[in-house]
Amino acid sequence: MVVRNRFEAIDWMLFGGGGIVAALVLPIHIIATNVLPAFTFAPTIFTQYQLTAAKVGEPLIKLYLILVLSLSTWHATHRVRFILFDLGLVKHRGIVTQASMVTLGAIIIFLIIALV
Amino acid sequence: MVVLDSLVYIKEQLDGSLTYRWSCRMGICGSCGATVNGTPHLTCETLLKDLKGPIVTVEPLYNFPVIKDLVVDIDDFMKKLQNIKPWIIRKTERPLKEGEFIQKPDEMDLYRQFSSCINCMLCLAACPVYASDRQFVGPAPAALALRYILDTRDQGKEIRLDAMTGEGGIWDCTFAGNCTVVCPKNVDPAAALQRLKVISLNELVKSILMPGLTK
Amino acid sequence: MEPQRKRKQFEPPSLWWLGHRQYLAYTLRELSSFFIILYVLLFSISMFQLKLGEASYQAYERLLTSPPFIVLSILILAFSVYHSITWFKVTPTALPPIRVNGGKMPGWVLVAVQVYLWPLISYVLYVWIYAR
Repeated sequence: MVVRNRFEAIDWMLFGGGGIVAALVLPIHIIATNVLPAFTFAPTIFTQYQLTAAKVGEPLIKLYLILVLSLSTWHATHRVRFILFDLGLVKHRGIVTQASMVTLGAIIIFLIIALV
Repeated sequence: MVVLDSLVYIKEQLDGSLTYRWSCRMGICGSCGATVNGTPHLTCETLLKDLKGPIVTVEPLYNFPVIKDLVVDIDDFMKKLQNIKPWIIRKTERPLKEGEFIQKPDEMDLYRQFSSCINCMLCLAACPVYASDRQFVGPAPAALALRYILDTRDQGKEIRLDAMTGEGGIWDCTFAGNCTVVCPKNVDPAAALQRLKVISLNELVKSILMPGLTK
Repeated sequence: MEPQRKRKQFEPPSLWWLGHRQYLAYTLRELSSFFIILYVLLFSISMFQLKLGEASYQAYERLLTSPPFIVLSILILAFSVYHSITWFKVTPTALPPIRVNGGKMPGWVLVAVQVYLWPLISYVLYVWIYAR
């Protein structure tokens, strides 16, 4: 066996994928959905129910949002888990790892339920 | 005047019991590592004029048990170094009459940087992961493992990856980058660790997609 | 024979590495992940409110545009941008040196490519999803 811990290897791969996705894509999403709506003449459809419902209804956009946000969440939960390790707050790494995977699963399921 | 000079002065003039390691006094043997003003340094290479403040605090290297004063117990590092087998591993031996292994300059360039490691352990002293988990393999052993994996004469990639991808292995590295910042020889162990992760992933994908191929 | 050695564990101040600028930057970089999770949750909730109908959605939008949430959103954006910049900077280290024209491609080229792609991709996504 060459790579002993396959779980951590795959987790790191998705962490890396999520990292580049989050780096390239999240800022514009945050701006369009959370920052621009604060301005009255904001050039974003997100303030309007009908337009948003229509846009998010498109299957390709749904798929894109689920993929991008899931990967970003994978990246983020991986980092949260390891910063807890670094800060010396963890006595049992195995339990924290399982808890972080459960949390990750819950967030992604919530995301999918909200979008699909 | 460097920090080592002041340690020598203290031992000769003020307190003969002060105990510290040193040898070459020119930054190549890796013996004189210590924490100076909170950061790992080689005391023989740290000029006093470059340090901030009127008081210079010298402590033993962090993350290692202390034997006496500035002398730390390096057994854990030695064990980890041995685990990654820092020598050329061959699967197929080459008879003497076939001559030596020829290695071109650009092949040597592949690993040259990582071969600069002097085993001074400043990187392990600076690593926040090693600080919270002494099982972690550490930057220096990983950098040296990569040095041999990248060496065209070596055939021991699988053995070394097997030693480094399990408990306390490379996956625990969070790319803090402290190791590269403190390394006195520009080895860039942080890069070595990330490259090892990528190499391991390649091996994993190969073993999943082409199981027959991995020997 | 091994001499008897007293192994006293010298305890550096706990979290000593947080007192240094380089290490603090690293911790902030890692903490940006909390805000990313927060954003995903906020977005999921907004999509949930969208499903519940116009009244719920508009109510949620009003909440989102209230001052405390604006501040939170700007904080999330700041950390997200910090994540992006620090991510682009470290990508060259994970790759072996790329040979170009007999020399080695310097790392900053990869960084520059990503920094160039970043606004391009952002613009395409904006036009695709958010433009009126």
